[in-house]
Amino acid sequence: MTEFEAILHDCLEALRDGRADIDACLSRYPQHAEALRPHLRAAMALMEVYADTEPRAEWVASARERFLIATGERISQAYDEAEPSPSFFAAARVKFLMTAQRMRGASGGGATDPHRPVFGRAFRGLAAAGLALVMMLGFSTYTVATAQNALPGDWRYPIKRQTEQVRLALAFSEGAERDVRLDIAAERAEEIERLSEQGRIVPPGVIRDLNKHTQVIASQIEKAKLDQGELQRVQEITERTAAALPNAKVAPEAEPVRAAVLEAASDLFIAAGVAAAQDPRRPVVLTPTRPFETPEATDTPAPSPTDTPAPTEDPGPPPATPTSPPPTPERGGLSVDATPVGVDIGLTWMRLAVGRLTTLIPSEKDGWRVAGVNVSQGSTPAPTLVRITNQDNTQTIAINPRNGDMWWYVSVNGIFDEVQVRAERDGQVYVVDRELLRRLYGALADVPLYVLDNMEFLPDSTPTPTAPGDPAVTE
Amino acid sequence: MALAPMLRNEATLDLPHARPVPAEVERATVDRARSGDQAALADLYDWYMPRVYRYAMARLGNQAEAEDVTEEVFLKMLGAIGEFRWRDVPFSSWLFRIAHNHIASHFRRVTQRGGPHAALTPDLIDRRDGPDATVEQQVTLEEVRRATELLPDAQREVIVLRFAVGLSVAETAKALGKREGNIKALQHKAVAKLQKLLVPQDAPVRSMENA
Repeated sequence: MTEFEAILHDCLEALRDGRADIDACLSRYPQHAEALRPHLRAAMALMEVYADTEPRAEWVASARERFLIATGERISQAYDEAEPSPSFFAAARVKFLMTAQRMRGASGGGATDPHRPVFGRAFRGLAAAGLALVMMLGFSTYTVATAQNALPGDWRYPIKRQTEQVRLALAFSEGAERDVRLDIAAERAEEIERLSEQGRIVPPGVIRDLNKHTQVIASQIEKAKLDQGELQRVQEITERTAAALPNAKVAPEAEPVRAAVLEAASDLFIAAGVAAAQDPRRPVVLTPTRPFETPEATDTPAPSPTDTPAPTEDPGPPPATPTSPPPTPERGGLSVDATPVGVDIGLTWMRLAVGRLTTLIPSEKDGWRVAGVNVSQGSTPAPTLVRITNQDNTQTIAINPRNGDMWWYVSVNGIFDEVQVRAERDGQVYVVDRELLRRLYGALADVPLYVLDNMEFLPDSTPTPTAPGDPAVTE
Repeated sequence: MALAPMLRNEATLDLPHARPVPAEVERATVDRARSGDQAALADLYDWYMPRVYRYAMARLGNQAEAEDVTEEVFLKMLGAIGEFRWRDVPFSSWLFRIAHNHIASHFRRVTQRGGPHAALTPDLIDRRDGPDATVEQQVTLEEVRRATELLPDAQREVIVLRFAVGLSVAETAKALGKREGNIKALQHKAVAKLQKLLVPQDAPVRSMENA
């Protein structure tokens, strides 16, 4: 490095740090002043021009959102590879609830959806903002009122969104603002539901807006004391999102947003559940968070099935490959052997087989049925999740036939709980703490534990033992 | 922006080099980000986005392209941060290596398509509208960009990393895989060339000083 390079560097650092201006530099090195001057001037011009380069505010906001969404995606990828942890099981809970919600929606009748408000949102929205909006935009009250039901694509939809913004602007306390945000998020969730019902594409803006407001609410859950009503609404909205969004048609570029919003919905659902559980006025039993034990000798006596090898005490290492490569499609479909295996704990048990997985389930005689199975027509294609539900829809057992992951969904006093009964990760099988489950749910826990204890994977080459063609066990 | 104000005595520029956070805070944040902490990733984004954007603007001169490239750089950062190791380079150097490589491939793509960056000549910088006009004329980002694009790659990279991004000589050296002495020499050559490109030799220096 030459002397001049060193001097130039010294001056440039001083300029950059604001420690000196050009004149100060020149007077510090008078013997080089003439040569330095144009260099410093040019460098200063560069710095000024560069310093003036500011990104557009609108882009900054939207790009940041996209980045955060992408971080969520990346984290969920890492999460998929991670060891099971309480949060893994908590997330599984929400995924189950999504399934359950879809199931409820698909079955049509049955239990009414307690989450769907009969009326109210539109009126509240109008009361707060209708007048202001009429004054601002000159629309008739009728227009504003009917805009409340508008969907994207409708000419009144922008009015609806505008109304929301006005309400937001008029909400002066954090609580009031949160209330508006809950309304808006619920509105977006409903739009997604309705667009999906109509087979229409959900614009990314709808999903992003939902995400935006749920993010704000999420940030307040830990800080602010949300009351039980708010927490319940948060859970309703996230559940509805989780139910509708996976089935919604979205443009390919909106896929990352969808994934991120679903992930965020899971987190928010859990956060709201945890917050609600911390309130002594409303004891909510969550998934047991005590570490899941690895399977040992079961404390439930195994039944004595007549036509299969005795169930092993240990579900055994699942034959799936240790990590995440997707399992090959099931060769065998889903079927239920119509000949009962036996009677135990007061129930008649049938053998269910799906792919290489087999277990015992309570019979239809006892009010249990397998979703989508008609035994008289032989086996049906293996679903991604086998669902076994009791008569009054208060219990559902769901089993992932590929890896034996099992969830139990149970309603106690009108509150739904979900328990991950069995999980297989990286070749390791985890099962629920039986004692804890019995303590929490008493005799109700017998059925899922019985199903668990009889679950086994047949060797790879064994054809699925089914007895198709027998009288229907299920509908 | 007028060329004249650069002769102000007060150094009141909002220069981009200022470290957004203390080094130890950044280090802790990067470590959390490596383990997938979303809040930490958001912090890194907030601290570095303006600098990456400036870098992209300095190289591309086009707002839309710079926005796209900035987003892409952070997505790449997201995908690669798991492999980031402190013993190799500072985080800033590592990030701007990503940016550098990304813009290089961006240029390759554009050039293959015969895009607007294919040809650059010194004629693009015509500041000879008369001496007074020159003095008051604004040096625009586009002019600076065109001038820097005329520099050899290494010189241009030093200029952009030092003056647009605000990296230190040490960080610049790590980002470019060169020694610090080398960076100072490149900086000198680049500034010498740029002052010829940006400040016409027939401009009346005295009037500029008094501006």
